[in-house]
Order: sequence, then C-alpha cells, then structure tokens
Amino acid sequence: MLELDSLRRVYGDVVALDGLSFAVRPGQLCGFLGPNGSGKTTAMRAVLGVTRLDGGEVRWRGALITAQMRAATGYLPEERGLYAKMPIGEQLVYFARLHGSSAAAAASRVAELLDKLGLRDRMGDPTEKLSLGNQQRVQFAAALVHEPDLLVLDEPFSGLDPIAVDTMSLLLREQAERGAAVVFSSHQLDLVEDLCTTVAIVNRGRTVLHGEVRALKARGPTRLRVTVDGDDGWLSSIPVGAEVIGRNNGEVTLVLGDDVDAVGVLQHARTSGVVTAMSLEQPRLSELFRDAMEERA
Amino acid sequence: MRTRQVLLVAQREIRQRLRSKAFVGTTALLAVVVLGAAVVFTSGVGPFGDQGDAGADDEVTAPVEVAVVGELSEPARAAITASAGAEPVWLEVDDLGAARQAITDGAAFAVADGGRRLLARQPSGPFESPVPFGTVEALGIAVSMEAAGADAAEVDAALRPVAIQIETVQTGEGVDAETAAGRFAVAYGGSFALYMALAFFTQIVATGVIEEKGSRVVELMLPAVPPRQLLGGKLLGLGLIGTAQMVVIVVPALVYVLVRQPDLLPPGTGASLASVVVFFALGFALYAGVTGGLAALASRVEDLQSVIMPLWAILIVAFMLSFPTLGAPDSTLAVIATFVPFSAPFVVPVRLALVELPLWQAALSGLIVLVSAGLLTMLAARLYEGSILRGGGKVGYRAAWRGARG
Repeated sequence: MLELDSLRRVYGDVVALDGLSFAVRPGQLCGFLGPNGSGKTTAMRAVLGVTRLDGGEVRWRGALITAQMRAATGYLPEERGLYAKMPIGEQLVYFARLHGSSAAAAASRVAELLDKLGLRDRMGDPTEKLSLGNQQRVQFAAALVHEPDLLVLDEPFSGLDPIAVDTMSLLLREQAERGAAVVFSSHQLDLVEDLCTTVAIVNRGRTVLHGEVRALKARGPTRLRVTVDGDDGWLSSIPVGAEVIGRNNGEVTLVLGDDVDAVGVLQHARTSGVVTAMSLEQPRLSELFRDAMEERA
Repeated sequence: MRTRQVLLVAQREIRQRLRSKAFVGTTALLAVVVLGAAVVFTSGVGPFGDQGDAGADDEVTAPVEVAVVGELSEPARAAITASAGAEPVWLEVDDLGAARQAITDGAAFAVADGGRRLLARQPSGPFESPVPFGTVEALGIAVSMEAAGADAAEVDAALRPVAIQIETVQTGEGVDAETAAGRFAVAYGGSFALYMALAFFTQIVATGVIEEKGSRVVELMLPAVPPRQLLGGKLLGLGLIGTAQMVVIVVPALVYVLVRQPDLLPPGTGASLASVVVFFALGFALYAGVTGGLAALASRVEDLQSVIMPLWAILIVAFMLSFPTLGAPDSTLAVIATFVPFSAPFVVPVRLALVELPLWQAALSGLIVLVSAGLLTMLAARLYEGSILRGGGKVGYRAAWRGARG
C-alpha cells in the first residue's frame, strides 16, 4: 500500500503541501483531484523523491519508500519529456532497462505496449516525427513499460482524444487488475468517476475528501431532478432541507437533506402542473468535488 | 544496480553519437585529412622533407636574369653569381626605367650605382625577401673588397667560404636539434588536437545536459537514475567515445608513417601521442565535468553560452599557455603550468614531445588533474542536482547549491 502521511512542503511563503494524506492499495485506481495549484504535482513529485519534503512521510508497504522502490515506480511527470531524436522503440527499451527490466523482457514488453497503443509500425521513428497525441501515448508507455507495482501519473489524459482516452483507460485498468497501485491526477471528473475505485480530493495542500467513489457518492446528499409542465410557483413552498441547486430547460435539480422525503417534494411539484420527468440520483463526483471546494472556501 | 544504470546512460550516449551521421562523417573526414597529411609529409614535401630533394629541383629551373644599369665591376658580378649559385643572365639596360621594365618582364632584380643600389620585385609575402637570400651581404662585401683593391678572383674566393660544420652539445636542456622538426610537429599537432577535442566534447556535454533539462525528460529519469549517476554516465559515455574518436583519427596516420618511414618520427613519438590520449581523458574529466554542472544552470540553449563562458575562458587561456611552452619547454612558466590542473592537459603532452620530461612530473601532473577533476566534478554534480529540475531561466550558483537537496 502507498501511504502519503501528513506531507508538508513550503516554497518561501507558499505552503504547497499542508498535511496532505491519503493511501492507495494494490489493485486500486485512485483519482487524485483538486483545483490548479492545490498541491497535486508537488505531492506526486514527493512520492517519486523528485521534491524534498519539509514534513510527513511517504510509505510503501508500511515502510519509508526507498530509492529502489522509487526507481521501480512508473512515473508520468506533469511536464512531458522524451528524447526527441531517439527512436521510440529503443527509447522505451532504454527506460525499461533503467527501471530494472532485462533487455529481453523490455523488448517484448515494448512491442506489446506499442501494439496496444497502435504504434507498432512507428517503433523506429524518432519522437519528434510523431504527432503530439502519439508522443503522449509513448510517454504513457514509458510509465508502464517495466510493469511497475506502483504507478504515479500526473494528468495522463490531458490533451488526448476520446479514443486515446479509452485505450489508456483500458491499459490502466489492466495495471490495477494485475495488482498495481495506481494514482493519477485529472481534471476530467466524469472520467475519474467511471474509472477509479477511490478518489482523493485536495485543496490548498490538504486532503478534503478521500475514500471509495461508491461510498462517497452514497454518503453525499441525494439529488432530485424534476420537470414540471407548469409554472415554478411550487418552489416557493418546498420543505425545509431541500435546496434548489440548478435549473436547466424546465428541469429543476434539488439537493435533499437526510430527513427530506422525495415524495413530499414531488407532491409540491404537482401543485403547479403535471410532472413529466423525475429522477432520484446519487451526486456526481463533480458535484461532490464542488461541494468539497465550497466547504473549504 | 546504480553501476548498471550509469553504464546504460553511458551506452545511450555512445549509441546516439554513433547514430549521428554528422559525428561519424566528421570523424572519418578528420581521419582521412590526418592520413593525407602523413602521406604528404612522408613523400618529402614540407617540414619533414629531405632538403636534398629541394636542391635537385633547382637544377631544372632556368637561370635567373639580372638587369644591370651602367657599369658593374667583375668583383660585383662575381658576388651575385656566388650568391645565386650560378652565373645569371646579365641584361644590360640604359636607365632605371628600363630596369623597372626588365623586372616587370621577369628579371629577378636590377643592380645600379656599381652595386650600391638594388631595384627589386615586390616580395610575394610578408616574410619573403625582395632579393635572393645572401645577395645583399655578398654584394656589400664585394664592393668593400673592390674599394680595398681586391680583384674578381679574390672576391669570388672570399664569397665561397669553407663549409663550417656545426655540432651541438647535449646539455639535457632545450629541444634536441636533430629531431626538433618532428618533435615540434608532434607537440603542436597534439596540443591543437587536444584543444579541438576538448572544446568539441565539452560542447556536446553542455548541449546534452540542456537538451535533457529543456525537454524535461530528466524528470522521468531522475527517480530511476539519481542526478550524479545521470551526469556520471553521460560523462563516461562521451569520454569513451571522444577517446575512441581521437584514436580513430590519429592511429591510421601513425601506422602509415611507421610502416613507410619508421625513422621519420622523433624518439618518444609513441609516448607523446599516448600522452595526448591520456591527457584528453583527464582534461575531459576536468572540463566536461564542470561543464555538465554549469550547463544545468541554464534552462534554454540561449542561456548556455553565458553560464559556461567562465570555463571556456579558462580552457582558451590554458590552451594559449601551450604556445610559450612550445617556445621554451623548460621555462618556469612551463613548469608551473605542468602542475596547474587546467593547463596541465595542454602543457604536459607538449613538454613530453619536446624534451625528456621526467616521468614523475608527468605522473604527478596527471594525478593533480585527476584529483581536481574528481573534486570539481563533485561540486559541479551538486550544482547539477540543484538546478536540473528548475526551469524558467538561469539558476544562480547559490540557489543551485542550496537546492541540491530540494
């Protein structure tokens, strides 16, 4: 298990990490969320040892993470980087070997990965001849190429088209199924919701929400969406504990407090007209994210 | 595990150079040029050439023409004949204007005022004499002797002196006169090659560091390869390929000369050339190590020049020190420069080629360079470590030093 425990890092007057903590188990895909400048990149760099910590510790399997473990970790840095003039196949073999793979294992793994990424026939091309999207795929492959037990990926999906997103999602799932602990940051909340088993939401260097996606959603306040063929007069008399959070093309979205009965709210709606559509939903991850940010603010 | 990674990094650097057509092409071209120079030297032209051949060439050239304005006595004519080696064709002309025309038409020079005045062609270069070597002195002696009453035969006899044999006494100092030409050629060529190779390879190190930093690939590498190992692998790889390049450039020419004319090379040439290669490796460790650390302070290729400029200034001054050493290999300056780490790589091969430098001096000098290279590379590695991940402009020395643990 990867544990980030009370991480603290200060740059001059800026507190980048202020007691940030969460954990990722082997086989888990953890989405690491937070607004820009909330400390995600600093935390990931601290896991890899690229950034020094002023306090707290990173543990792997219960002990302080070692240089050997860091060397064996799959990493996709926020700022992408590959050797521009080196053929991509040779480059990936090089990275795999630096991370400890044998030459033969590296070669077969590179062939397999490039096949999955649709880049098998580009193996001999230098990075600079590839499109940006394809360079991103190679960068992704560089993180997976040595089959690491721990994967730390800083915004792996940014700048990818939907098809590439699907391919990479599949590859990440495979990694988790194989037993790797995977943590990746993203601003694509719907994608994280579909892909991840757990999330850690951070703001201003602190963890504000952390846990299994399913449990967090179940715990969050229920959303009621109602479309009424009539006026909005009923909204003035909804029960205490229900709150309107959105209106869109006649559809009204309400957040229901724990003690509010959805049927009671619907009865109010019927006083204004015919209810043409209704749904009772758990909150979206994006909504939990916004709630968490507002609480902190 | 770390050694393995250093070797992998070194291997990548070597493969990248070998893949570069420019690098392979330049090496092959230089090897051909040096071999060509060896072929030219051994064929008898240039400073190694046998002077006897040059004399043989003179026999086939046409006799020189000398214009004479007015009277010219027999002793004066004898003097000109003696200094030319053969009787010239005398063109008797009426005045200086006609003499000028004769020179324009091909005469070597004109004599006027009974030998007291010469009119000559403009020399072809700044170091050329307008009249053949010895003519002025011979003519001067002839005019004086004639004034003292000597006749043509006496002047001719005086101007054909007995050959004086010069012998040198070996004092153990200075350059051995018999092998001086070869020694100077080896010393000059060696130090120049060393300078070129050091400048070229430190430039490659600087560019390589800045490419990795600029492309951010270094952040991907660092968790697997710590900064010092990354820099170390790079230096090892480039040092090996640089040494190999020197060997490839020098060895074919050396083998050619050894096979064709083994006596042409001065004694100790092998040792001199070996010292060039050894001091390339040492000088590379010294200069390239520091370059690697300094280059990491820049973030873009544009900033590179300003961060490595101080080191380049030292490199150029150190190379310049090999010139006074060429002139006076046993001078105090040369001895001091032997034990200063930055100048030693240039000065030691020069001194080894020119004089019998005691082996202990060369060994001590090499040791000084090696230890300095180790210490300075460690300092540079700290700068490298502290600045390799800092982008957005130049990183100051202090920030890099402090950042080494951040």
